[in-house]
Amino acid sequence: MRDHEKGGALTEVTFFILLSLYTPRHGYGILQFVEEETRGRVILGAGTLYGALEALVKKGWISLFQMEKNKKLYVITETGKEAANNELARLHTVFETGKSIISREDLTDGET
Amino acid sequence: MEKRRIFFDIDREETWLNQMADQGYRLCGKSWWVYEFEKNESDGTYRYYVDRQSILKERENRAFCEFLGGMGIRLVTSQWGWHYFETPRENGFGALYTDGTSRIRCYFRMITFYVLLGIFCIGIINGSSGPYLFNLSIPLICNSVILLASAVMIFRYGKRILWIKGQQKLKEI
Repeated sequence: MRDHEKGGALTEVTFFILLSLYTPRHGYGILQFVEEETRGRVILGAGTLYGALEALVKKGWISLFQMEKNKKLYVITETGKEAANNELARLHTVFETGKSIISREDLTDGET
Repeated sequence: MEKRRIFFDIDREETWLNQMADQGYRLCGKSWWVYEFEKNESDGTYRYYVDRQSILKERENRAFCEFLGGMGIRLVTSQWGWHYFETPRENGFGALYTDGTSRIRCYFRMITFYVLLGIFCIGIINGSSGPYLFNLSIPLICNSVILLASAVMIFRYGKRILWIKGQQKLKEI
């Protein structure tokens, strides 16, 4: 879990954890969400998830929602939503740039 | 059933426990180098994790174990900072750590342990004498062997850390 220092880009894992917490979830729920949404491409270890949640709580991006039996439920905070929005905007720019260049290449390939 | 083993390598220990689980043996305790197993009804029902935590951070360790417990990963036993976790395979969990940074941290804890063990052994070797076996000092031989094993393990874990760091660098370009 290392976020890029210069560009402010989030790692994929961080981004997906933030997305999963738009509805309150506990650890196992987060793992399932990440696995389902990435169709099994990103599988998180339980120990890794623990470290990631600790780091995100410290950053103030997520917070403890409530205790359910012996499970902690987490939820995203306003700061966390802001970070997720910024990441979405960044991904959008990346997508647009990539698409404009790659589709132009495809067109020229098609003409020749 | 009891099995006597000494592992210097935490990854090999985990692999061995999982091989035992494949044969239907469930870990129920460990003291010193004796692992206690009980025969399970079906083979490969459980998956095991071996993790090393700092023995000085009692509160953090407990929070970590509680978190894993909430996910269905139960602490079977712990000894001198080594933690043995068990989870039903049907939960579908992979490795405990899937990111390089936490694996590096775990390996660093192992290196710290072997450095301390090494220093301790040098201390014993310096002051060693009897009991003797065929005119050879037993503490001298035992501690030299442990010292050598510690040195080998420090080197191996160091190599693994460097490999992970290399992988991380590739991703960060």
